[in-house]
Amino acid sequence: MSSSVAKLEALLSRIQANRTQPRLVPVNTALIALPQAPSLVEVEEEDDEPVITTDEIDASSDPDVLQVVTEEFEEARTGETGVVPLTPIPAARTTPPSSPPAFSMPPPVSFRPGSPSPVTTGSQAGLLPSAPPKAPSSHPPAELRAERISSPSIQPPSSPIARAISEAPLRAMPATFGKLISRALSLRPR
Amino acid sequence: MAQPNFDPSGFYEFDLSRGAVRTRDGERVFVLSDDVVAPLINALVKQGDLSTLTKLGERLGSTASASLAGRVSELSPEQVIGHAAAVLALYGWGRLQSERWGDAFVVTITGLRDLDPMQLATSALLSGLLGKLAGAELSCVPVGDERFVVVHPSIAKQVSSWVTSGSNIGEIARRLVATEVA
Repeated sequence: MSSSVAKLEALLSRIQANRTQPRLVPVNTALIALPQAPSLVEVEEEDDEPVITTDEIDASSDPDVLQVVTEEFEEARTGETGVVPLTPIPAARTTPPSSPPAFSMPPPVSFRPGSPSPVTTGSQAGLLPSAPPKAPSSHPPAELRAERISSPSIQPPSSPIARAISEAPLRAMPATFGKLISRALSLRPR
Repeated sequence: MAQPNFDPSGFYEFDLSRGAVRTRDGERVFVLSDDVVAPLINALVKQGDLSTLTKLGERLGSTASASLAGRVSELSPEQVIGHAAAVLALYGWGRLQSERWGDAFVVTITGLRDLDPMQLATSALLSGLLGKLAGAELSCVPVGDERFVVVHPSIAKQVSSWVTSGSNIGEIARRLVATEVA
């Protein structure tokens, strides 16, 4: 028993001397699991260097070892020995990951170019464009230019088009679309 | 004068569960890139059968007509052309505008030159569109890059020959005379 305690003291001294030594990480894990697990940490010496194994030993066969280890661990955890308190290792997930949800078609999405943002009836907003396309203007660009034929800015006065315009009779814009079409369809070659 | 008041909101409904796109009238439509549409248009032009595009224009005209309140023939030209332009734009068929050269009624459409270099498909489309709105058969003869003069089908060939001989829109307007008193 005294031999085991001496080994543990050597181990704890080593922990205190070098907190960041990678080899100590498994020790921390083992120490945390110690009070709950049926296994103990056994410290062995190889070439005068303490090494740690997690071979199972029967705690009931040497209860004093368990007691000493626990006390040393508590001292280390509470800072009495200067060892940084150990951080528990998160428990491994034992529950299997849930199966991926079955693929389901999203509900119909109503796309409204005139609205400020896309309208969706489901949670598939990611399927929509990040920004709604620019809606056509409520005032369509088409406009009738009744004075187009008399506009001097279309062509220079000397151009053939300008001469043709100057010779074309100016007509008032018909009041209705029906009259406009009717007059257009009545055109005949001179 | 009343302003056009076409409401484009909710025009399309994307039904992802069925993989379909429909207009608010229930008509199923397809979204195609111009890389696909251009060869289809060229094929139709080469075959000399543009009835499909005329039919499409008529459908667009019906949509525009349905969006107008009242009889189309009694509405102002601005209202009718405005709604037609909005429907064309929603379908991606360019920007429609209108002009008047003398007695000639001229429409312009921009944004389709690369798709239809000969302007023949666009001519068929506009003929169907405006014909549906007017409730009469008419022809839209391409003049230049973007203009189409609206005439009776009986003189379309004559007007087209003027264009082929190099006449511009001003000269064509001067050659035409209205037989109906305004």
